[in-house]
Amino acid sequence: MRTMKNIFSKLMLVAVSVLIAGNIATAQEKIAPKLRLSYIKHMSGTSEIKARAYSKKGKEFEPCMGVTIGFYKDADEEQLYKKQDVDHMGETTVLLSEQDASAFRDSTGQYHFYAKIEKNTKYKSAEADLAVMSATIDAEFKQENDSTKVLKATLMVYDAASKKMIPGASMPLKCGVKRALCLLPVGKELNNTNDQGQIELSFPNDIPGDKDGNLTIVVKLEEDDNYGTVMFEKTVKWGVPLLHPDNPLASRSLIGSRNNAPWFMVVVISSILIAIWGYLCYIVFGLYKISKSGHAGS
Amino acid sequence: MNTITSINELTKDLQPRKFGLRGQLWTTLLVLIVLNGFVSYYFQLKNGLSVTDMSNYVSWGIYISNFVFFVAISLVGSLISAILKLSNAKWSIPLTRIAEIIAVANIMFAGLIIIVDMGRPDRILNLFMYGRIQSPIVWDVLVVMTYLAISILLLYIPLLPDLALLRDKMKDIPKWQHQLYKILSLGWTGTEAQYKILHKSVNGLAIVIIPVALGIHTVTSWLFASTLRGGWNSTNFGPYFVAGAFVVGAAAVISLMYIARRYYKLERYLNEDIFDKMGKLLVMLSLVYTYFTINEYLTPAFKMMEGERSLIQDLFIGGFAPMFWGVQIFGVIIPVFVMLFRKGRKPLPLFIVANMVIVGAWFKRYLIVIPTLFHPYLPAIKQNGVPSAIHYFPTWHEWSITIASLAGSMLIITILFRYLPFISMWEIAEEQHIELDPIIPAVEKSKN
Repeated sequence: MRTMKNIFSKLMLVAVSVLIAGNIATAQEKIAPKLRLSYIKHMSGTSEIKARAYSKKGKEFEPCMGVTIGFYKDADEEQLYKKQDVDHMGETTVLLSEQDASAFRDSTGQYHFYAKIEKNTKYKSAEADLAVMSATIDAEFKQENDSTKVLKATLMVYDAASKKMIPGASMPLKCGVKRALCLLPVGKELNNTNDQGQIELSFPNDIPGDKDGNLTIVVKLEEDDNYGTVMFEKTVKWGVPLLHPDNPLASRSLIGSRNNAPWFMVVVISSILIAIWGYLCYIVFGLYKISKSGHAGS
Repeated sequence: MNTITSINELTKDLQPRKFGLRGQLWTTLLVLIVLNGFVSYYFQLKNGLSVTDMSNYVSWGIYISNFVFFVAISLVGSLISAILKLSNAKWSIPLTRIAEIIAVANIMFAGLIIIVDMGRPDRILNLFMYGRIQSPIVWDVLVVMTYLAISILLLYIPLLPDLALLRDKMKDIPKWQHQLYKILSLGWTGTEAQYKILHKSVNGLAIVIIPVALGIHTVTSWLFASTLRGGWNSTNFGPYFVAGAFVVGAAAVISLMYIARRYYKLERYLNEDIFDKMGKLLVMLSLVYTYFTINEYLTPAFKMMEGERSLIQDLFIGGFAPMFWGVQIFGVIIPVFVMLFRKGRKPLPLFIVANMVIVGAWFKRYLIVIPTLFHPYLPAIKQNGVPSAIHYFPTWHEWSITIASLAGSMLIITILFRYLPFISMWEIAEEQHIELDPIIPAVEKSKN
C-alpha cells in the first residue's frame, strides 16, 4: 500500500510539473514593446508624466498589459524615481508636485524624463526619454457692459539663452469648456498667439453650465515638441444655469440609482429575503436544540 | 427493493468505504485537473482577462455558459428532495441524498465560476456594498446564496441519524474520521423530540426550496432575457431554463446512481425499477423541454425579424449549425427515443443516454450564451481596425479553468461519497420497518 502511495505521489508531482511547465511555456513568447512619454503641466502646480507601452501586431498597435515601467531621473537609470504598473490600455501616469518636478530639471532649465519597461515573461525591455522646457499660461476673463465676454490668454515660455520667461509668439493654443469626456471647443480649432504671446476670444453666451452657471474653461498648449502640454483651467460663472426639473435618476425608478429603487421592489425583495432567511435561521436554531438535547441526554 | 432484515446488514451495505485502486486513480485525476485549473487561474489573475478570448462584443464566454450549466444541474436537488418527496414517491428515497450532493457541489461551483469570470475578483464585495437592487445580477447573487444555504441544510439535516450510526457502528476508522462523525452528528441520540425537529425541518425546507429553485434558474434566465438582444429577448426564457435544468439534473442523478450501483454493488437499493422510473421521468421532462425549445425557436424563425434573422440562420444553417443540431439530435431526440422502450431504461443504456443528455446540455448552454453575442443589434464596427472584431473561441486558459471547475464539482461529489452514506440509511430502515435501536427507536413514534 505504501508503495502504491509513493507511486501516486510521484505521479502527481510529475503531472503537476508538466502542467505548470506547459502553462509557463505558453506565456514565454517575448514581444518587443515600444514606449512613448508625454508631459503635461497643470497651471495649478502639479504636472504629469504619462507613459504608454504598446506593441505592433500586424498592422495594428495594441497595448502592452501587465508591464511595469520605471521612471528615472538620469539616462544611466541609476536614480529611480518610481515604478508603476500599466493599466489595461498599457498606460500609466506619474503625478509630480512642483518640488518633485524640479528634481528633473537641469542647469539649463530643461526637464529630462527617462523611463524603461521592465522586462517580464511576456515582453522584452524598452526605453524612452523626453526633454521639455518650462512654459506657463495665464488667462483673464473680462465681461463688458453689453454682456460681451472676452477671454484673454497669455503664453510665456522659458528662454534658455536669457534664462528668462518670454512671450511664446506664434504658438497654437486650444481653448474650450471642460465636458464629461472631452473639450467643447471655443473659438477656432487652434488660436495662434501674437508677438506678446496672447490670444483674445469673444466667449459665447449660450453654453450650458451647472445649476449655478459654472463652466470650467481650459486653455492649453497641446503636445508641443519643446514644451509638452501646458494646461490652464479656471471655473467661471459664464454658463447658462442648467435646471433639471425631471431628472429620472433622481426619482424612484428601475433606472434610478441604488438609493432610488422603486418602493415595491425594495419591499417585495426584502420581504422574500427576510422570510426565507428568517426561516433558515429558525431551522439552524432547530439544529441547536437537537445538539443541546443530544448532549444533555448523553 | 429486496428485503433487508437488520441494521447491521444495512450499515454494512451503505456505510462509507475506502476507495480501491480505481477510486484512488479517479480522485488523483480530478485533483490534477483542478490543480491545472489553479495554475491557469493564476495566470488569469496576473494578466487579467486578456488571457481569455473574450472581447467587447463577446463579453461572456464559456465561464458564463458553464455557470448556467452548474445552476441547471443543481436544480435536481429540488426535483428529487422536494417535488418527489412531497408527492410521496417512496421509490425516490435512495436518490434523495445523491441529488442533494449533486446540488450542493454544483451550486458551489456556480458561485465560484462567476468569480472566475470577474476581471477584478478583489472587488466582489463592491457588489454587496454598492449593488443596485433593480439589477438581475444582484437578484442572482442573492438567490444563488439562498439556494446554496437551503441545499446544504437539506443535505445535512437528514444526515444526522446516519452520522450517529456511523459514529456508533464504524469502529475501524481513523480517529479524526470518528471525531468528524461525532461532531457532525450533533450528539444525535434519536429521541422523539429530535425526530420531530428533523421531520419538521426537512418538510419545511422541501417546501421552501421549490420556489427558491425555480427562482434561481428563472433569475439566471433573466440575466439574459432582461437584455435586449436577439435570442435572449424572450418571455419564454424562465420556464425554458427551468425545464432544461430539470432534464440535465435528472440525467446527472441517473449517471451518478449507475456509477454508485456498479462501483459499490448496490443493486438491491438502486434496482432496475428505480432506473425505469427515472427513465420515464427523464422522458417526460425531455418532452416538456422539447415543447419549450420549439416555442423558443419556431416563432422567431417564422417571423425572421431583422436582428434575429442572422442569429437564427447562424444556428440553423450557419457556423453554429453542427453544434445546434448535434445538441438536438444527440442530446434530446436520440435519448428520448431510446428511453421510450423498456430495454432503453435498463441501467446501462440509461446511463449512456443520460451522459449524452448531460454533454448535450453543456453545449446547449454554450449555444444560449455565445451565438447571441456574435449578432449584436448595433452593427459590428471595426475593432482596432480589424474587420472581424467579433470572434470567440475559448483559449487554453478558459478550457483548463472550465474543465477544472467541472472536475472540482466531481471531486466534491467524490469526497462526499467517500465519507458519507450516499443512500439514507435511516430512511431505508424507516421504510423497511427495521429497528435502529439505540439510534432510531423513536422513528415510528414521531411519525405517529
